[in-house]
Amino acid sequence: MVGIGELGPRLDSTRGAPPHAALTIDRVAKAFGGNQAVDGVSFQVAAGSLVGLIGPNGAGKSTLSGLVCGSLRCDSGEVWLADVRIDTLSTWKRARLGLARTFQLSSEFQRLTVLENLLVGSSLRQQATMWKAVTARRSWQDQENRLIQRARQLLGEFELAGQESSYAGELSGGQRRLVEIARALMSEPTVLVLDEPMAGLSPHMVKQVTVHLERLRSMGFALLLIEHNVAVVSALSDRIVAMSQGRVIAEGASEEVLGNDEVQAIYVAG
Amino acid sequence: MSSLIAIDMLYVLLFMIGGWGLNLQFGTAGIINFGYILFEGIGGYTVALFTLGSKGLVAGQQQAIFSVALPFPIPIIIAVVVGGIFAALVGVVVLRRVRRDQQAIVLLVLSLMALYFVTADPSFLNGSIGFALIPQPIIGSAVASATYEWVVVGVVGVLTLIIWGLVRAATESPFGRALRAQRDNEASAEALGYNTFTLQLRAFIFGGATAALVGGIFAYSLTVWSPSAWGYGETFYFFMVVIVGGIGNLGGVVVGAVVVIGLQQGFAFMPNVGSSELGVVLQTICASIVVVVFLALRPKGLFPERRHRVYSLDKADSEPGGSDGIGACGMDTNAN
Repeated sequence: MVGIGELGPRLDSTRGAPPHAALTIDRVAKAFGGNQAVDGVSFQVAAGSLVGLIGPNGAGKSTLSGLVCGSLRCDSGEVWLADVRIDTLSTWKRARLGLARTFQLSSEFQRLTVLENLLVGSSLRQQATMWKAVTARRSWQDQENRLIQRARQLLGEFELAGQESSYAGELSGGQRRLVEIARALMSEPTVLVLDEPMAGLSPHMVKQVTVHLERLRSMGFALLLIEHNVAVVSALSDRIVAMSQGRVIAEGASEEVLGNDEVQAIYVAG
Repeated sequence: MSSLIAIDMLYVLLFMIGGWGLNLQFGTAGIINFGYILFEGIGGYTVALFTLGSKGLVAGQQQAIFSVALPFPIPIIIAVVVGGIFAALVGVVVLRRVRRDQQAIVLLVLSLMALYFVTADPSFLNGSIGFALIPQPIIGSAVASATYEWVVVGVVGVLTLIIWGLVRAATESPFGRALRAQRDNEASAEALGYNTFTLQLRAFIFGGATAALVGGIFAYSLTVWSPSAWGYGETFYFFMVVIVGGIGNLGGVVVGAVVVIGLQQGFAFMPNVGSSELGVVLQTICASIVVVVFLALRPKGLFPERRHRVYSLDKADSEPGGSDGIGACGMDTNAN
């Protein structure tokens, strides 16, 4: 990740030119009525790094996540996925370019089995037409066959192997989180945005998810972790961005940000 | 008696076809189409317009915006195409612009508007009287013979099998899985790269074409077609087929169709006591009670949506290895 001080001038001087980080957020702003939810936020997430985004309730973290992933549109600013500007694209187009996300609230497909959840996340989406359903069965079945192997491997790694035929809605909260992450990985992303993945998880599951996130980072994913749990963010993140009232109030290495007076005032003093 | 059984069987088959079309929209894609009957109406009118011709209009002292006499099965094919095109036009507006929970109201209003429009202007589609003397198709040499109804049942039976095959192929494929996924969580499906609007639109067009097919066959079978055949209350019976049989279950629709036709025919044979409309009134009340009871006590129907089988699973089970796990997912970006 590049610090905000370094980012500003570079993007100013090369406006319109593609930046090189996996994900670049450049002076993004969003207001709801008179409330400025996100106010000129800029930072980058490089491939193989994990950036933690922290802040109190109402800081604008989830709004920023929506702006990056496409469920909300920016009032101003730009979002780049590698060398492609994506802030004007719809959610599904951003996803097809390699941006995956998990949601703050569990968003598994409840009436699909765990295996089906993962297959929906895969490149089988290219086969999801009525015409291909009827005329190209052999083609999609061959592809599905390969993807089932990959899905099973992922389920094994996420300790969900015994659950592949269970409805996702029947799983525990922690297992649903893991299904969501595994499903996102099936889409072969370059950038993964995780919106409070630890919310509601037991300490054991938090530890489990933490291990998986560390592995993903080591494999070259660019990870943006939006999280309330400062201990987890501190342990995992290469860099931390702290937000308050829609603005970035601190940014840098973990100790640096958590030692910041303003951040201390929010997280320690209350 | 044999003829009555044949007609009942024909109606069961038609409600099965219509039920599957609605089931794909409602049970699989999650679109509550309270205007479903509108597309059946379109199918019936299209067959009438492309079958009667000017001679047929004159013979029945009927008015229409136009009419040509085309041989079977061209009118029914045109009906299916027109139903699909109309569904596309409606779907583009309703599925894109209207919130999912409000789509049902908009579609119901649309079907009511169409009903009032057709009824108000006799020069368009002969108003509330509708069309009569629609010639039945000649199938081999069986027309007007004693076995004609059974020949029709046979032909529609083959058509039913074809529609079943299409719907089954659709629901058990990545397309059906994607439809069910966006039904469960639209935002999640979008975040995985699915254009949920086009997914829903495809299901909506298929359902519209299917309803038009049913309407066209009904028009041929009844030899008449008027607004009373596609009143908004008729949509309720198609929903009853799906709700009683099992939302999202193709086999359940078969049972639902038998229940609905059984109920309708049961009241049709009721002796007239007091009002001649008593049977119809009691039938509607009874059907309403059945639906309410099912929604309250067994909302998933007699045969709930089953756990869908992943088709390639058996093959995948038999092939060892070949999996790359997270590593393969890593940076192997394959943007479409």
